[in-house]
Amino acid sequence: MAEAKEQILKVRNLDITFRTTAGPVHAIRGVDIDLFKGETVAIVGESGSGKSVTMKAAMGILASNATVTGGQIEFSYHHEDGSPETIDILQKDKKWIRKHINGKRIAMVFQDPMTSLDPTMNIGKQIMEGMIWHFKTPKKEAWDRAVQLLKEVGIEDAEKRMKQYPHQLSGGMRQRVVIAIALACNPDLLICDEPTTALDVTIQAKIIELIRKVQETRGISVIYITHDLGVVAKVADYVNVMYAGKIVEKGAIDEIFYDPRHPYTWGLLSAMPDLDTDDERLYTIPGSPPNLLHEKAGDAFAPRNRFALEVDDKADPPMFQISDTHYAATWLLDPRAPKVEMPEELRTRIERMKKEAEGYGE
Amino acid sequence: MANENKTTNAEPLLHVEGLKQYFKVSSQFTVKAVENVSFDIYPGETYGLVGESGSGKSTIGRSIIRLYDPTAGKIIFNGTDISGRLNKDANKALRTQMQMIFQDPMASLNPRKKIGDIIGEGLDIHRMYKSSAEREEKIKSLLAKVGLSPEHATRFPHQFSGGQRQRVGIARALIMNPKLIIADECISALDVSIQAQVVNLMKDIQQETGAAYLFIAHDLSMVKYISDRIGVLHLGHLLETGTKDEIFENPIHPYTKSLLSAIPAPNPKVEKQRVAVSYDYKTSGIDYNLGTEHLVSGSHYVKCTDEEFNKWCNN
Repeated sequence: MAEAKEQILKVRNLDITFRTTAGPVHAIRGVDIDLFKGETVAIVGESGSGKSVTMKAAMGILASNATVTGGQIEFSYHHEDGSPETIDILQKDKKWIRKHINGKRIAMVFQDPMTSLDPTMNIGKQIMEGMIWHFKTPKKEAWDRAVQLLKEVGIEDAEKRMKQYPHQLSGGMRQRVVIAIALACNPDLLICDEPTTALDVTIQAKIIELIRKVQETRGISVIYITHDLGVVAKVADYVNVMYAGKIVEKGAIDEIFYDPRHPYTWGLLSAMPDLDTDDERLYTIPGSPPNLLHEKAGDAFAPRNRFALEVDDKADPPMFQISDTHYAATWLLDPRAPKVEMPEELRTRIERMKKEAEGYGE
Repeated sequence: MANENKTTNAEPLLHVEGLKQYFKVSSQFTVKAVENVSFDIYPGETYGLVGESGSGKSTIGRSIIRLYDPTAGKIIFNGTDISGRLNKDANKALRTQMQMIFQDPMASLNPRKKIGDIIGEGLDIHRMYKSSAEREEKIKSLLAKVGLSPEHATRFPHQFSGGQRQRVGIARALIMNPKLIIADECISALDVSIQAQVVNLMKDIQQETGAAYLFIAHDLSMVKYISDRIGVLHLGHLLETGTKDEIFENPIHPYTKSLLSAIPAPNPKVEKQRVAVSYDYKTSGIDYNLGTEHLVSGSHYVKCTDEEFNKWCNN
């Protein structure tokens, strides 16, 4: 990967505050994200950690009570004639984003296919809508393309399905339609916000394979928001672990899974039930995610962290670099910190995972 | 597992035989949600029911606790038949000794009642205390048992986080000292780190009180972790049942195999190469209605025809 990669999305120091009746909630606190062409970045975190809000900001579809208090979201794309262009999404008004970005260059797949489809419009119309609106595609051509898209996402009898309504399809089928709609305008970036959380495991596996296939054939970039580390292992090239509105660890997928450094990542990995061992108790992260209404000094994860140091209560840890791509925000990586190793159970599990992986090779 | 000894000699706590649950939609159309399902739950063990949505797993739980009237079949709980019309005693026994924990902790707690009153409601209905001090005492000890503090009793559900609310749901089920708790997808609405906490709590409670669980879920890795025995359900048919080792080490039915292979493992190098086994009922050529129970080994049963059984077992 020596050649310069083309950067699609560059988020720097993003800061978002929500006005609520209980007071301001500082939901996003200095988030940086990088995404290069053709790659998949996963954002992992619990609910309320701000992973969806970050991506909504990139789409310019934040709720009306949200204020962006700082940062840039730079998005690069090519015009139809091939000339490159980089814009800061936060500087553009909603109308401009709606016309030039949403659906056309950045498309989104939402969690719940039951609510993200219009129940009063047939499938075909919903797929064609974007093409007709953005490119003024003639109706006949749009129809043909829509049929093709349905075939691409693995729906049989595409012509027949075009005239059907969302309620006539199963959950997995609906999510395929949502993906077809997202792909309709040939976007450069696909944001998948928990695309499989509402689906069963068997269907989840199929949808993930579909998204991977689409990405390979079209060479688009994908941002995958999820809380399921198993899904992340399957799809992602890079992983960002988010906690309380901050990215606490980021790195290439192998670095996060085989060499995690942040205690929160340790906790997330250990809390997954392991199919290969018969532990009597599951490892848990004590406590619950913090309420961002009451901001406290220091590391937000400190109260739940059994490896917390004294300094954690006073100052927020900066990002420490571990390798070219691997960063973690924990004081444990400071040269002055005592040497702390990851929990024993997790280390044996990672050892076993590595052994298993050897059989598969690269 | 300590429970395996119990399964061989003890009487089953719950015996379900040939349970059918149909819902009549119109004069021409009936939804057959549960079709001829039989299984046993022994005292103190956890039986996990897995299957995709629409497979009828929640319906089974609701039929057993008699939120629905079963169309056919026998449900024997603790020696009493509870499948037909319930007389007063059977009803009382059922309502006290069997409890349910629901999926969505936000929706299953009355937002206008205090936590203490939600937990104490069963005590009030069955008049199970002599003085209000005793009631107070019972509620407080339960709050402590599920990891909440006594002053939480005077708060309202909206003041709690999701994990805490599910703890309230568990406390409410426990206050009657039930012999069987039906946990219907009780962790799927919670965050990963909180799921582990709730599952650990449920395990601790089982050790302390000896209650049996019917654990309904679609997350197989959690089911494997908590269950002693597992039943795999698809389209209302119980396709395969056995101890968790029997199911996970030696799955026989193609549907079980596809279900097991669909679980993503947190191991990127392996996961990137692996393709899940897919299974489609329509094209598989299997007709669930023709299947009968076949013994594989021990307590491991598969529902299929003789022909299919030979084919699957010899491969």
